[in-house]
Amino acid sequence: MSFKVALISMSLTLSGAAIASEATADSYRTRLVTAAFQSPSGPFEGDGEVVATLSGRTLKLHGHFEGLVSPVTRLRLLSGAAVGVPDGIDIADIRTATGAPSGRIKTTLTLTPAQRELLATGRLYVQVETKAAPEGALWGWLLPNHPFPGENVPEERNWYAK
Amino acid sequence: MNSKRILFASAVFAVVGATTMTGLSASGAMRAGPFSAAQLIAGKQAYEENCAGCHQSSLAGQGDAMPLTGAGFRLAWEKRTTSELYKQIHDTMPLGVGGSLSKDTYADILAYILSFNGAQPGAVALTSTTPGITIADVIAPAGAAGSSPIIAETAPPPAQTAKVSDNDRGAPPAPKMEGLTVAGQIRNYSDVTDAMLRNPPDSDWIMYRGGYRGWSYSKLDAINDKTVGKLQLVWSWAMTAGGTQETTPLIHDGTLFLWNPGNVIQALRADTGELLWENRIGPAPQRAFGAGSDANRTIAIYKDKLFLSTHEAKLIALDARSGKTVWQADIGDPALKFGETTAGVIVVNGKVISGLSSCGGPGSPADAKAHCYISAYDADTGKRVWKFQTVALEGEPGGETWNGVPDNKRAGGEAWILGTYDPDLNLMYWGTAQAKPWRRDMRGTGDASTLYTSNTIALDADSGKLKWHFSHQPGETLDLDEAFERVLVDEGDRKVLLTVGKPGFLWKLDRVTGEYLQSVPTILNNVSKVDEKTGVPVLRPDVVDQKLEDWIASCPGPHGGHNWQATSYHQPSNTLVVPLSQSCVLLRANGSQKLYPMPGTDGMLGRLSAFDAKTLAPKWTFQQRSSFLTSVLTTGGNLAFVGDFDRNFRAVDVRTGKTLWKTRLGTTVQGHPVTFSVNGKQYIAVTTGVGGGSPQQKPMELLPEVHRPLHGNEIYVFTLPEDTRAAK
Repeated sequence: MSFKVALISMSLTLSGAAIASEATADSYRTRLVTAAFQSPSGPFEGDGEVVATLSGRTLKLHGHFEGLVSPVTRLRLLSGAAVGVPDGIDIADIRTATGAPSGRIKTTLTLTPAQRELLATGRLYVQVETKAAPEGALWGWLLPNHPFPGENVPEERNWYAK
Repeated sequence: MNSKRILFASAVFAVVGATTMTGLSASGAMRAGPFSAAQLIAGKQAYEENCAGCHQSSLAGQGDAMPLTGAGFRLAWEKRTTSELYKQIHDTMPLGVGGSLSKDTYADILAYILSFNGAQPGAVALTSTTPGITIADVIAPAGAAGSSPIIAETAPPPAQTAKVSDNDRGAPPAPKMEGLTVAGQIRNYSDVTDAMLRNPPDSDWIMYRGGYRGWSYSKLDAINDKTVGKLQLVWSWAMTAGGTQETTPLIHDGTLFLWNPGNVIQALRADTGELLWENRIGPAPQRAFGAGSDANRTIAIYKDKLFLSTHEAKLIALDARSGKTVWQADIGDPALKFGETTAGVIVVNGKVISGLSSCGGPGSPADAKAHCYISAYDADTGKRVWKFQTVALEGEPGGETWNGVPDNKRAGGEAWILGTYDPDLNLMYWGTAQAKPWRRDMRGTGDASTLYTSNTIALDADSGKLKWHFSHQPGETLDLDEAFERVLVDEGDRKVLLTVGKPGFLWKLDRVTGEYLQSVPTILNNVSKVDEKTGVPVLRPDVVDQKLEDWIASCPGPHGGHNWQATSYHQPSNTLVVPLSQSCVLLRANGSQKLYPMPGTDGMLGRLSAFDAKTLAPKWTFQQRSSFLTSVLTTGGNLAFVGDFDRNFRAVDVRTGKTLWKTRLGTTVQGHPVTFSVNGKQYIAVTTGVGGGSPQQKPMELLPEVHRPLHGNEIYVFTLPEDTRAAK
């Protein structure tokens, strides 16, 4: 990934994402969706979900991914300057079986106070890398757990990260 | 080499390499380009078929399509290699179907682009494996008069063939006869008065957004939450194929007036779809899938005339009863050969008013003079009454806000969406696009507010004089303009204006003074944050400091959190219903864009959200995979109608967001749904359409599982069965 590592030095005033949510503060979730660095002429396939729970400094990740068109080589927890900014700054590797196009995620990590702040402000993301897409086939930002209600199912209020 | 290339190789005699570059010679520092003269005809044809729809035949680019010539192209590409440019084109183009052309075709296109930028042909043809050489070494240097390859007029014209971008299903439109092709006389037409425009009859849809205040709301309520389930198609009508279709049908006295691509204007019986007259003004669409600049979002009606503006910036008046042309005027300047219109027209106080786009800036044929403006014309004669230029020049009020950039480099400020009007204040409210080039480092304006770009401007409707302005995005740099609908709502004695731009902030201003009152985000915005007290946005530091080679992440991307698909104001519940889009992009100066779904959306590109117009508090929201491609229509039946990319047209309960009725149409539902009544019976009309800018093009990349015909411009009209009992 050719991203500038210099982005880490961003001001926290803007980079910190205030999460608009009534969700439980220590439960986070993401849908794993197609990452931007996939070749645009290639197939956009793959899906997954990760749920994370934070207790003290302990972050437990549970999830799955499937439907990839290439074997998985690595899963990583990364950070960026803001929600949706994929700076590719390493936080930790996530344990999973590699070599298959689908799999399950179950990992426990210990976060530093700074990393907890990154989580609280929506700046941590999970990236699934494959042989065909070493810069990321799927990714997803960990945001306060708000289960997806389904397509065209209305919710009261307006949930989003802002 | 395929047979087509052999054919073109035989026409090589017709190709003369670029020979008119000032200050260059064969013995100069420039190397010969890594392509042959024999490739250029095939390259030009392939470019015209696959690229020109967005990047234009002039290679100047437009909208999201980056320039492939001039300073913008050099800045992005001169330090990079021909093989990098080949890969970029191959992997990403045509948009949404990268890699779908043959390798020879990509090579021919690259050869044509290099030649257009002054590169001289060499002895060997460019292929996909040709080693890359630095582009600056082969194209004309900055300041030299670049030239396009000269192709003799005796060369055969490009054939009319189906294009990859047509998905092999949409034949290019054939040339059509022009003029009054169907004569007729509407007998039950009453002149449209100023009073009717100020207070439209409930039975009519008499102007863009249904009324001056831009509500897109009708009191009609026969079709309501209790009866809508029985809604059924009563008639449909295939519109002109090709181009871009985003229009608004207008209805008056039981006649539906319809703009079609190619400026074909038709009058149809609104209850049966019977054609009453047709005037094919032309020119016919040149491409099966337009890039958006050939759209026309509305015509207008006033007294006994219809008015339309064209892509070529012509303003034309027709006799509404017969369709005959009455007068024609120029909105742009034909001498300077600039200007387009897509906004359409609105009539205020006897003046026909429109905004101009595709104007100004470096590369423009007359860059020193060709700045964008809003202008008004006498409805009886077509004579220009006033003009307000949306780019302030040195010495003018606001001219100091361009950080010293020379006048001939000041561009942007397109008024590509019609303004709204407050008759009591006699003020019009327009939004303007951002300064150009989009990137702040390329235009050299820093944090400056570059008036009057990315602004709300309030103009006196009779003089065009500026009453006030408000800058939404000073220092804008990511193509996130604020050009869209201004919705006018009264809160007791306070008159407010509400608008949402591409950044996705819902703004509220005092429309008497321009005072900032409030803003709330409607979707994730990770680029800027608005100071809630002052209304001034602050950009993310890496966005401000971006360098040419940086990938900059932007949520939303150039598609915008909101676009021309307009908000509706449901007056009875004081609710704004806003169509939103949820995608992000990684952008680089060379024009590369990599799209990805917005975090927190589960890959849902479309969102429809309702907000309380007074507090801006969210009421309800729902998401779906496809983005919404129509404006929202709300009615007295407590319904909101909206259509999407994946052919769905639905009615939701405006109080809850619950879908009450849905149908599937021929292709993408695109345009502005309307409602009207004839003999007391209520109808809903909506158009399908293809072509368009980023709202059509980005979903083509992000929704690969959605398959839709790339043709099918059409209008559909729905009503309730005769036996439906009135239920309120």
